[in-house]
Amino acid sequence: MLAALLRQVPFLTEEDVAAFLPLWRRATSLKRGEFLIQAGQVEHHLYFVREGALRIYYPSRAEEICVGFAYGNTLVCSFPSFVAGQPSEYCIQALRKSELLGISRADFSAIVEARPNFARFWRLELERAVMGRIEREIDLLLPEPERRLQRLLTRSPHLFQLIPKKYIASYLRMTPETLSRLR
Amino acid sequence: MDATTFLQNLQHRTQQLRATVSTDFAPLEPALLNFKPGPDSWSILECLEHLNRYSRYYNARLTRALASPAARPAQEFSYSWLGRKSIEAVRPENRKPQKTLGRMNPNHSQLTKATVEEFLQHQTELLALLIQAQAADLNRKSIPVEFFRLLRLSLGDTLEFVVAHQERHVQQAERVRQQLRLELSV
Repeated sequence: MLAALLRQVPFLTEEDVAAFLPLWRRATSLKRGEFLIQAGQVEHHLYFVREGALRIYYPSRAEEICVGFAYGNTLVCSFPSFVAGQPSEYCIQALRKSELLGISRADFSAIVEARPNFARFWRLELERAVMGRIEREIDLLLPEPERRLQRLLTRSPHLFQLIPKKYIASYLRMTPETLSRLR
Repeated sequence: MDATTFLQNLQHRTQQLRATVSTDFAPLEPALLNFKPGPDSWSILECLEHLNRYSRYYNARLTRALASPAARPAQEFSYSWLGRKSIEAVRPENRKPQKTLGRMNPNHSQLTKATVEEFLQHQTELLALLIQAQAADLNRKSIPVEFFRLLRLSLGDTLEFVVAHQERHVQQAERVRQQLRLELSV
C-alpha cells in the first residue's frame, strides 16, 4: 500500500520508490489501548499507518486532550522527537488494533539528502502539515462550538467514520453531549 | 415532464458516470482500488461491485421490458409513488445512510480490475437502453423491485433509480479516492 501511494506521487521515479521502501524496516503492531509513544519518551521513527486508528493527545492533569488523529495512509510521528530528538510531550495511542511501518530518522535524513525528489516530497508534506496546523489554530480561536464542528466536517468528513465520537469531541474542545446535540 | 428531455438528462448523466470511472478509477492500481477507509467502509471496487449487482438485475429486466414495444410512446412521464420514494432514498444528496441488503453488500470481497470493466460495460448497455426507451411508454409499470418482486416500478422510475443510485456510489468512491494519499499527522 505504501508502495502504491508513493507511485502516485508524480515526481517520484520507480528507482526512488525502490530505494525508499526497504528503509521502512520497523513493523509495529499495536492492540487497542497500546501506545506508539508515551509522554517523556524519545521516538526516532516516522510511521506509516497500514491499518487501524490512533489518537494523539496531550496528557494534562485534568483531561487527555486530543490534538490529532492517524488512520490508514497517514504518516505519523511525534514531531519534536523525530526531528530534534526531544522527549515527546504528546502520547500516541491505538484506538483499535493497528499495524504500522516505521523508518528511522537516520535513514530518512540520509535519503532526503541523497535524493532531491524526496527533499521535495518532504517539503510538500511539511507545507501541508503547517497549513493544517494553522487551520487547527483557527478552530481553537473560535468560541462557537457549531463553527468548530462545521470546519472539521468540511475538511475531514471521513474522521466521523473512523474515530469514536468522544475523541472527536475532545479534539473540538466540547463535551460529547454538546457534539451529539449539534449533530 | 417531457419524456424526451427526461431521457436525454439520464443519458447525459450516464455518460458522465462512464467518463468519471474510466478517468479517475480505471488507472489506479489494485492496492488503491481495494483500499477500505475503515472496516465497514467500502473500497472503490466494492462500491462498483455493489452497483454491478444492481445492474445485472435491472439491465436484464429493462432489456426484457423494452423488447416488447408499446403501442405508442408516451409524450409525458410522471413518477409513480413508489418510484419517487425509491429515487429519493438513493439520491446522492440524501446523506442518510441506507441499510444494504446482504446479497447486495460486497463488503470484504477481494475484487479486481474486472469489476471496473464490468461497470463500464453496464453503462454502455444502459445508454443503448435509454435510446430504445425513446420508443416506449415510460409510465408502464413493468419492472419488479429487486428485493420485493410483488411491487413494480415503471420504466421511467427504474431508469432514473439506476442512474441516481449509481451517482450516489460513484460519489462515495470519489470520496475514498480523496483519501488515497499520504497525509502527515504531527
